[in-house]
Amino acid sequence: MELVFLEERADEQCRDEDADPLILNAFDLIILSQGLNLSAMFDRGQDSVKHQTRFVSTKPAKVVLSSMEVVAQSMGFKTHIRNYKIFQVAPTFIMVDIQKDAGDAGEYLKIPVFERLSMLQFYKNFCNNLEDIIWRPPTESAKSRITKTKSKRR
Amino acid sequence: MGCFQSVARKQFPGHEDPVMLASQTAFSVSEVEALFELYKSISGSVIDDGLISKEEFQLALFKNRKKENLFANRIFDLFDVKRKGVIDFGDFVRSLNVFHPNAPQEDKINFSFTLYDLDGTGYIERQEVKQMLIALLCESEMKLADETIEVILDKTFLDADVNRDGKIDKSEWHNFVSRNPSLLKIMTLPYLRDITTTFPSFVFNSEVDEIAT
Repeated sequence: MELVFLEERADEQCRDEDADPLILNAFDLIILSQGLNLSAMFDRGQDSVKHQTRFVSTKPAKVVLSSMEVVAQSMGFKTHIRNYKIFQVAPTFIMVDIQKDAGDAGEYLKIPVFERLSMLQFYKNFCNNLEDIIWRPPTESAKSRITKTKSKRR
Repeated sequence: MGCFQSVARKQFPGHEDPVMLASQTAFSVSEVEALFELYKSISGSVIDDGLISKEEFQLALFKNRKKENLFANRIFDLFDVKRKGVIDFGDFVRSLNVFHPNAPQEDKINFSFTLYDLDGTGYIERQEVKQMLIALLCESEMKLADETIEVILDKTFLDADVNRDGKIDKSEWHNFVSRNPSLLKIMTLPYLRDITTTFPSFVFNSEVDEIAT
């Protein structure tokens, strides 16, 4: 499976997989907003299915990376995660931002509908399987949610 | 040409001559015409009044006309140069000009500064950055501990607020984004280079249509 940092980020902040995650500032996060992504205006009204997933973890980056690989492989999907970024949000928190290789709407529409649906399902299941490393604030009853989801699938 | 322009101005208030707009921006005349095609589809999507309303802007960005978003609101306000609550074609072209790959970096930096200066005081204050950060986390359905948010803000201001007055002024912002150029990537739309192929405007045909009506 290819796990590559976003190619568009062609500046000095690119790192290889083994290096430390990016230490970021508030604006690195702010620019991720959909409201600042004006390229969506040029989508000619197609269904822009945003395959974007973000989560926060307190585990070290290497653990997160290997978990993501293991989960994806166990799900039998080899090529769907093309781009991800790991940010050092704070001393103990990292944030993972995964984006489907966006390309243009034209390319996306060439993918048969069944495959598009399975990509969507992939992202949903992927995050469910990563519940162990995804951090939730103490107030949320995340644990009971996990149990429910897992038993549903069995 | 005169006939076409007067019809266009009736149907599209604030419509300006493509040649004029091209001379004031980095766009060629055919690119302005292509932008007009895009403008027509956005401005007619909810109410066909030839102007882009906030709802139509939200529809174009999120495919959901009811979706409220702090950052989209800021962009809308900046595009709505005359503060009329709507974006006309001239506003549209001149604002998108800043996002052109060939637009001067300085214009992009100034635009982004105004964007983040939520209350227009001429400074980006810590409280504003906090508000924007929280908005982003909300949007992403992510939560961070309060202390973590403060750590991020501390780090940001340590980097950006050189004179330690608790706010980022324009020159500090210029300095900051020069050291962190990835922050400006939202200010460039590569799509604007291929606009004539994405939104072909068959000028000859549209002139014939206008005159016929």
